[in-house]
Amino acid sequence: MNRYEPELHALMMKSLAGEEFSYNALLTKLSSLFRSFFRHKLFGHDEAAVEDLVQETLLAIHLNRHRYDPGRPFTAWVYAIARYKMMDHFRRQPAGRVFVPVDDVEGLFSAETADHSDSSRDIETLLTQLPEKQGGAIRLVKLEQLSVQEASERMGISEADIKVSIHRGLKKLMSLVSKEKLP
Amino acid sequence: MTTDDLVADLSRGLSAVRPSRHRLRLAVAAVAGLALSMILLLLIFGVRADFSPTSGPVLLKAVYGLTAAAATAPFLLEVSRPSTSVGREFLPIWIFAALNVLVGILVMVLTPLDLRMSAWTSDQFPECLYRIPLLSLPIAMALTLAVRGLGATRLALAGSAIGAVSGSLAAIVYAGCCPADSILYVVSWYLASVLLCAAAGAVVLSRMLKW
Repeated sequence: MNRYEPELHALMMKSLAGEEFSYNALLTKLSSLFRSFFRHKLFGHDEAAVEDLVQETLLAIHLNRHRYDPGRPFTAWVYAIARYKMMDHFRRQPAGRVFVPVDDVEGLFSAETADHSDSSRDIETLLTQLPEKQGGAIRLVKLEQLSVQEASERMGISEADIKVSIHRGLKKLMSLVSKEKLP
Repeated sequence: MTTDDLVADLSRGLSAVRPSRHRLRLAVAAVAGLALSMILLLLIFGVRADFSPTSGPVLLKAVYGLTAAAATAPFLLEVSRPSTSVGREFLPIWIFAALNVLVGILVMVLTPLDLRMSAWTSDQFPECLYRIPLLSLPIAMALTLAVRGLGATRLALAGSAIGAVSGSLAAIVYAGCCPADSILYVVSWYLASVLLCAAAGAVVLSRMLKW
């Protein structure tokens, strides 16, 4: 069972009883979960396809809502439908066959955190490509939110040196990132 | 349309829904299919010459089919709707298969060597290999119609579940005409027939379950 289950299940039960407000809240919550899940699975290539999938899945849930068995986990039910819609999407484009595990319920309901950790990992790999002084200064001041003075004490170099290192490092990062974006 | 618009549209004027009666729907389909299958048996094969619904061999084979159906039903109930992990539902199937093989080995060992071959094949081609799948067709069709729209998300599994359940139920029907009464025959060829139905279901029925 995952952390979304109690809240989403409660919303679903109220929705089945016909409460518009709960249903709206439920679908809104689900659509943001679906969006990051599909975006993650489609590697962020095709935003239009992601949005189509989100809408198709919401519609499928709407049309099948009377088939949901309240005694069973709602998140698993939702994941099964989202996964089916995605497999269907991949089936329509044979070149894009991707393995989607059948029981990765957590995968849908931890997509937000997964995205977060991925981007921080990216920054770490970029920082390692900088000279040690520039990378260290950026990490301390920009990521760990230390003041310039604290950073200069920690690294044993002058405050001016820190400022210059950050400036040059950021410039270099910018060029690294734009180079990666090019095809 | 933006997703927010869709959400607003779907939730506007929402009415309460009654949960569908999933088991009932499948049970009705199974019974209807079973009745059609019995008619098919009478039309094509007829009952065996010494048929009596209470005769030991007929009853025994019917119980075999009923047990197989009971073992595969939880699997069908699970995969006929949006489902992710299938695990527990396989347990009755494994138990049934294991008992089946165990009984088969036991009976084979107890049968004198020179009688084994005739007990196994009943001195003929095992007709049930095509007759049980044939009799399972109306049941499979009824179950497929019932499962369509339930939102099965694992289509090959759902197809094989329909195949296995309808093959098992067809074995009950076929007991009415099957002339071979040896236990060795039943545990080998009936099981093979049900497996054949399950395999065909995975390939053919899964295509009909798309939504």
